[in-house]
Amino acid sequence: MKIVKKIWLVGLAVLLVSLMSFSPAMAVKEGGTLNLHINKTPDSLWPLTATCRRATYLFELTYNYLVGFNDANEIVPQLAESWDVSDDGLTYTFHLRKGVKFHDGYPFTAKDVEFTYTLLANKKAASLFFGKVEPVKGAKAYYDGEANKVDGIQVVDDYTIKFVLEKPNAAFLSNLMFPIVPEHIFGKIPVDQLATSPESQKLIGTGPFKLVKYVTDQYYEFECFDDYWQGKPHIEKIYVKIAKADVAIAMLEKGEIDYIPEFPPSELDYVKSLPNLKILTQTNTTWPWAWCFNLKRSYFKDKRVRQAIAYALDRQGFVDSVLRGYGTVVNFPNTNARWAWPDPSEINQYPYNPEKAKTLLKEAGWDPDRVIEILYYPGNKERDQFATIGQQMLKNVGIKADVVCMDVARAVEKFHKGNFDILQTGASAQPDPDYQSLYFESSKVIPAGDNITSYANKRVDELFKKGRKTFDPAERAKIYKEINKILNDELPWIIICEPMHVSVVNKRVHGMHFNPNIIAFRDPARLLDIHKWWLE
Amino acid sequence: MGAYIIRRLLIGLVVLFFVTVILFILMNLMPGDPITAYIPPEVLAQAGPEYIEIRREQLGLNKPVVVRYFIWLNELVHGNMGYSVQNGEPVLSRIKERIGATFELTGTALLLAIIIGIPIGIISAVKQYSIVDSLVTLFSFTGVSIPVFFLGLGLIYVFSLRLNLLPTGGLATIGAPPSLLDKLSHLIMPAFVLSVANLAQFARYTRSSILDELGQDYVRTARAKGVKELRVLFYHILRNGMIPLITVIALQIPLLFGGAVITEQVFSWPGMGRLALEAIMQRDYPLLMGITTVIAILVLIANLLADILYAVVDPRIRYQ
Repeated sequence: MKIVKKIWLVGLAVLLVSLMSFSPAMAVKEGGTLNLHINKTPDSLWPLTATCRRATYLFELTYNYLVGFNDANEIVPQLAESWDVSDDGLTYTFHLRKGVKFHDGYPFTAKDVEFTYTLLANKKAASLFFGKVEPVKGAKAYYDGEANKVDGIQVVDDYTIKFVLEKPNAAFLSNLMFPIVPEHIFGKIPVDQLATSPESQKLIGTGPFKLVKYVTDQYYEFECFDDYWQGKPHIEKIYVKIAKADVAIAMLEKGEIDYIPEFPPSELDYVKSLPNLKILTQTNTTWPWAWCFNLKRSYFKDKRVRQAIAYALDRQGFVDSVLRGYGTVVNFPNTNARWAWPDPSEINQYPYNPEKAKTLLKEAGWDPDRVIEILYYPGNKERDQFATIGQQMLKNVGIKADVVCMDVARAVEKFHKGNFDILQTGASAQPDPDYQSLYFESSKVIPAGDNITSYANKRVDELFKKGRKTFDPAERAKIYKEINKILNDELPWIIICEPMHVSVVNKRVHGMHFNPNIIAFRDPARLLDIHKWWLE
Repeated sequence: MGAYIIRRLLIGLVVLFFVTVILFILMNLMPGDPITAYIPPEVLAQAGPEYIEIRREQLGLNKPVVVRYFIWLNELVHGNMGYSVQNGEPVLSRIKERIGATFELTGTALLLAIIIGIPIGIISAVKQYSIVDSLVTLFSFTGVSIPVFFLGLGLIYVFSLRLNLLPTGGLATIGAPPSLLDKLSHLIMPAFVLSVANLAQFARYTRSSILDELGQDYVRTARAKGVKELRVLFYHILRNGMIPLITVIALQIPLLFGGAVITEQVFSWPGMGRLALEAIMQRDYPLLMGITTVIAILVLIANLLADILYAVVDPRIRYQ
């Protein structure tokens, strides 16, 4: 039933997007200034150490990746024009696009790719993304200082590069969504000083726009890159303005900002009354909001307790009222890979049913005097509200709970030490379902990975291992379907919902094309075709 | 006087030393770690298990607190305030790039508060229990109790959105040639919002301090010998009445540097307040130490300045 609704929403989004692109034909206009918005200055603009989505947003203007995704979630060429995979699944040979230039006019070659991925594996570079190259042969040895290069990265000629993997890894291609940085600039800087060098903050890439100016905490100014390989962008200039979210809404109304990519649904009623704005939605399976149980607590070990809590929560009611319907209730921690979703009939939907919750709690022998703690850190206006809503719903079935709110640093310390009952959080997901192993494989229990709940299930571990080695799509689908079915039954996490992605844009902006789905958490891919946008 | 100032400065250095020691200890008692504070858990998990240790070593966080303190102090003496944890930029340059805008905003706000607040206070003292006095009292209570974000957003709604007279925020119009008018139009709303609370406070202090003086014997004497009322007010009463106000105003000076977190956020002003808040949220110890140390120095200087000003305003006060 819920899945049906989801499909319906996807259909609606597709329709909206296609309507947009087929609206009365207008001639594309050149020039003009576009105003974008971020709510805070990114902490760093160096791709290897930047941690926030705000930085990714700027990367989409200025950098390109080797590969990208299309609307059907298939991997498509970007800087890599094509690639071959050897029969054993170990060697990937990429044929790079010719005639691509960096913002300073230097040509892009295989050297830059080699440099970027070698850097990811360099311990001294303090890269946060070693995980992306870890499957490559010799990457670990290089990381540990046992080799002076990564054996598996081999430049064949200026426009051909090979990646040889340690063992087959079906998720490898999607790891390659990472900005390619120019070797001729950063190769000259000592590796341990790269992240703090002024050059690292200049966003020199092959992307459609180049950074001209940054004014502290005020704005970034970008100019179109005439030699962009996909053609000169229609828009002449872009300002990315930094402003608090509430004020940004006023600026949007006034026309000082043209586009807010992450818009709070609770403010949409107001936007609907303004004639110069339109609302765009995308389904978003990359950022489920969840309650994670601490399975080290004896009283959560019985899965009936977890299931009872799922029945106790009126999640659909939360989506309808707080999110104004812009969200979907789901029952397993999925990713965007639809092929890995089990059939709705095969899983438990946990509809709101307080009576059933009470019965299950009684069976499991829940102590009505026990007080549990719901821990959360402020992250999203709407999500934060669920802590108290959930507390009330638990009370209705006879579970006493306190709500504890802490700033991120303290909350992280607390749950890293395993000192929590229920953590309310937003989890990120990458396109390949293997990404879920980070949360549910027993070898990834915090701090080794992000298995916050300390979930351990031998069958799930086995399936994840098998999934990485399997290349046949039908076989892989079976594996992840089984994992999702187990997680749906055992509920180490209760997924509250998947909020839809709502953005608001000024009607003077044309030519926008969005993937109907958000594909990857840190790669929202909303600006990837910004060279095609134009202004009235 | 000279010897007094030198003595105070020396004491100030000792105080400053202890202040930094206490700050350093407090900061290290804060729960949370700078690395886990600014890197989201899911990104950290991708980075590999030893990542936290590697970064701690690079940043010197694995050394004992005492050692870290003396390294920091040694660098400070040599004019280096350390490097920000998040992006490795020198703390001094991060402070420098915001200091101009901060002073512009907080200085204007303080000036507004003084030139409006004090005259209002004088008028309401002289015309005690009149309509003017009641209005001033009402205004100052409203001013002290109205939340800054509410006033700020309210002004933006009226003057930017509905009347379209003023910009919503920022330092200057982006892309426009710099002009004084443009600058002022951006400055007026945040400076006003920031000054309201101070303004009300100054008016209240001035009022009560002048009321105290009005009943004094010397005032009656002055009037008895036929001194004109205005001269009594400005020459006799005001000089005495200003002494408590000097303390109140001097204590505002360190806050000038600290910036104003909420006003800065509402009006997208690149000030110290936002920087300090971020430093706290992200456990950026070096940056936070840098900011708090500068504030501590300013508090010491402001106090000294207030004491010197007492002597200037009131000839009866002498320092040995």
